[in-house]
Amino acid sequence: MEQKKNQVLMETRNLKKYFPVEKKIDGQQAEVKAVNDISMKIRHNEVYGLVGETGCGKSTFGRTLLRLMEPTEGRIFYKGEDITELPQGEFRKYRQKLQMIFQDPYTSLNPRKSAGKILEEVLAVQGMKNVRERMELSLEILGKVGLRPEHYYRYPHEFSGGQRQRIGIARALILNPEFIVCDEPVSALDVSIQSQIINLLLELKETEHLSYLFIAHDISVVRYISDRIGVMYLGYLFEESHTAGLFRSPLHPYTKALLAAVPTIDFDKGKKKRELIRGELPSPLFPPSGCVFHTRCPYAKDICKEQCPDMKEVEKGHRVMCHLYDEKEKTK
Amino acid sequence: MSSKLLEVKNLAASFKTERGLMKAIDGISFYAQENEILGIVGESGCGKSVTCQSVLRLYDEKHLVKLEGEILFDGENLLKYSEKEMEHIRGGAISMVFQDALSALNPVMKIGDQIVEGILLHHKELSKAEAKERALNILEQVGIPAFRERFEQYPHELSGGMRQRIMIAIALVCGPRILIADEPTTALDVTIQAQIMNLIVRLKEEMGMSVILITHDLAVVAETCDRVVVMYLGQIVEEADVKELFLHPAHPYTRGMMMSIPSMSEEKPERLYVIQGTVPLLSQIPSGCRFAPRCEYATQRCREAMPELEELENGHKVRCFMAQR
Ligand SMILES: Nc1ncnc2c1ncn2[C@@H]1O[C@H](COP(=O)(O)OP(=O)(O)OP(=O)(O)O)[C@@H](O)[C@H]1O
Ligand SMILES: Nc1ncnc2c1ncn2[C@@H]1O[C@H](COP(=O)(O)OP(=O)(O)OP(=O)(O)O)[C@@H](O)[C@H]1O
Ligand SMILES: [Mg+2]
Ligand SMILES: [Mg+2]
Repeated sequence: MEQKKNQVLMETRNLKKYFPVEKKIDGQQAEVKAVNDISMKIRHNEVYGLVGETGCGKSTFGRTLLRLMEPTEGRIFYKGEDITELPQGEFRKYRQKLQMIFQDPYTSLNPRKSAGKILEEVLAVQGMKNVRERMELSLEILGKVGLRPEHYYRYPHEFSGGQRQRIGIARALILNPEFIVCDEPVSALDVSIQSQIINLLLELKETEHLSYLFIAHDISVVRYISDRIGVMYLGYLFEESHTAGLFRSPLHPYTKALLAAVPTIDFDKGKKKRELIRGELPSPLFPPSGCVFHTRCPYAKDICKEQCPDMKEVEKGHRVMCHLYDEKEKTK
Repeated sequence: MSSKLLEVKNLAASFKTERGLMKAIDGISFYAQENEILGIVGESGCGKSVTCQSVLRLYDEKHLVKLEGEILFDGENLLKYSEKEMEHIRGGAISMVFQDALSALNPVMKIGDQIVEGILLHHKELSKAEAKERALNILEQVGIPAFRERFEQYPHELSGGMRQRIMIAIALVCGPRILIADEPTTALDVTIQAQIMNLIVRLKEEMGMSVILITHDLAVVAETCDRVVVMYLGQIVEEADVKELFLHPAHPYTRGMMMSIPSMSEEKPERLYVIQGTVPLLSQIPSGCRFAPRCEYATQRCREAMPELEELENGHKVRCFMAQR
C-alpha cells in the first residue's frame, strides 16, 4: 500500500497542445499554444490543484491528459504505460478509469434526457444490459451526490446550476474511475453546497482511492483540497509545490501576484481595492519572447526577454520556471 | 442622497409545470439604490436567478411563468409594461449579465457583430462604423487581450472567462442605469475577477449605476458590495449592510454559509462545515420557517409558524424567531 501511495498514476512529459487558428500571420499558419511543454506527475490518491489566469490552458491540459483531445506533441502515461498513441478502440478500457467533471454544467448535459437517463446511458455504453441494475445503480449514485430519487425523472433545465453540477459528478463517478479531472466542479455552486461537494470529493478520494486533477479559480478551495498545486500561465507550468510550501513561500513573481489578488473577508483593513497584476495578458497568438511573463514581471531582467527559463527544483518538491532562481537550483 | 431606483415588492414567480404551479420565489421585497452594489447570495436553487430574470420579465408569461407583486423601476411598475416596452428596457436602462455565458452568446455569430447588434438595437442613430468603434472600445475596457482579433472570432474559440467578459461588455455598452450581474465572475480566475470587479465598481461610481450582484463568492461580496440580501428557498431571510452581515450574521442559514467557506489558513480541518440536510423540493416547502428542518436551533414554533422578515436595527432585517427576540 505504501508503495502504491507514491505510485505515479498520471504523467505527462513535454506535453503540448496547439490550436491552429484561421488567420495567417506573415504567411504562416498561426497557432494558439494552449499547452506548452508541460511535464507533470500526479500520484495515486493525490489531489493536484491547477490554477492560473483564464485562458492559460488548464482545461485544455485536463482534456488532453485524458485524450479527449489529441496532443500536438509529448507523451502521456497511465501507471507508467504510454497511452499517447493507443488507438481509440484499445483506449476504451482506460476511458472508464479516467473521467472528467466539466466546467460548464449548462452545456455539458443533454437537455433532452432526464437525469436518470443521462446516468443510465453511461452504463449502457459500457455494456451493462440489465435495465433494472442500471436504474438501481443510477439511483444509488444520485444519492451519493446528494440528490433525491425524485430527481431521477427531471430534465436538466429543471435543475439549478448546483444541482446540475451534481449530475455531472454522478456521471463521472458511476463507472468507478481511478482518476478524475475536475474542471471547476464547484465554481457554479454556492458555498454551502460547495463544502458538501468538496467533502464528497475528499470522501470518495479516501473510500474509492481516487486521484484528482482539480482545476479551480477559488484559491481558498484549491488550497483546502489539494496536496500539491501547479500554477499555469499562458500554456506553461510556472510553479509546482506542496500546498503548504506554495503559500508559505511562493517563488514565481506571477504566483505572488496571483495570491495577492485573492479576495478576503477582512473588514479590519477597510475596503481595499484588490491588488492587480500590471499589464494585460498577452495574446496567446503572439506570446512574448523568452519568459512569457516578462512583459508583466516587476523583476524582469535582460535574459528574461531572450531566453525561456527551464523548470528547476529549488526546494524539495518545489519547482519553478523563472530566471530569478537560476543560481538556486537544488543540487541533486 | 440615495434613491430607490428599483423597488421590488412582494414578488412571486410560479412556474407552470406538468406537476402544476411551482412557486420558485415568494414574497420577495428588496430595493436597489443608485450608486450602490447590492449583493444577492444564497444556496443554489434558492431563486436568485429567477428573481433577477423576473425583474426583466425574461420568461414566457403565457406558458412558463406567472408573476405577482410589483417591480418598480423609477416608480413605474414594470409588470404593467407591454412586451414592446420591456424590450426597450432590457439591454437599455436595465441590462443583465447571465450566469451561463456560452449559451447566452450566439454560437454562429462573430463576437464583434453580436456587440454591434446590441448597440444598434438601442441606438438606431449610430452608424455601423460608430457602433463598431464603441464595441472595440468596450472590449478594451473589459480587458480582452488582442481585442481587435477577438472581434472577428466566434464564441467557441474563446475560453470561458473571455466569453464572460464579452457578456459584460455587451451588458455595459449601452450605459445601463441598473446592471444585474448573475455570477459574472464565476468562471474567472482571481486576477481577472479582481479586474472585472474593479471595473464594475469604477463604472458604478462614474455612471452612478446601481448594480445587483449575484454571487456565491462571499469574499467578493465582502470586498465589493454595499448591502447584501440572503435568500433561502425562494425567500429573503436576511438583509443588511455588508459589514454588519459579516460581523453579526443573524440568521442561522447565513451563519452556516459563512462557516462553510474554507479559510485561507494553514490548518485544514479534516472536513469543511456543512449545513445538515438538503434543500426541500419546491413541491414540499415546509409550512413553518423554511429553514427549520435543517436548523439546529429550530423549536416547535419555528416548525409551525413562518417568521416575517423583520428589522433588528439600522436596516438589518432577519426572518428568524430566534434572532428577532
Ligand atoms: N477548440 C479551440 N480552438 C481554438 N482555440 C482554443 C480552443 N479551445 C481553447 N482554445 C484556446 O486555448 C487557450 C486555452 O484555453 P482553455 O480553455 O484551456 O483555458 P482555461 O485555462 O481552461 O481558461 P478558463 O479558466 O477560462 O476556463 C485559450 O487561448 C483559448 O482561446
Ligand atoms: N424554467 C423553469 N421551470 C421550472 N422550474 C424552474 C425553472 N427555472 C428555475 N426553476 C426552479 O426554480 C428554483 C430557483 O432556481 P434559480 O435558477 O433561480 O436558482 P439560483 O438561486 O439561481 O441557483 P444557482 O445558484 O444554482 O444558480 C429552482 O428550484 C429551480 O429548479
Ligand atoms: Mg477552463
Ligand atoms: Mg442562478
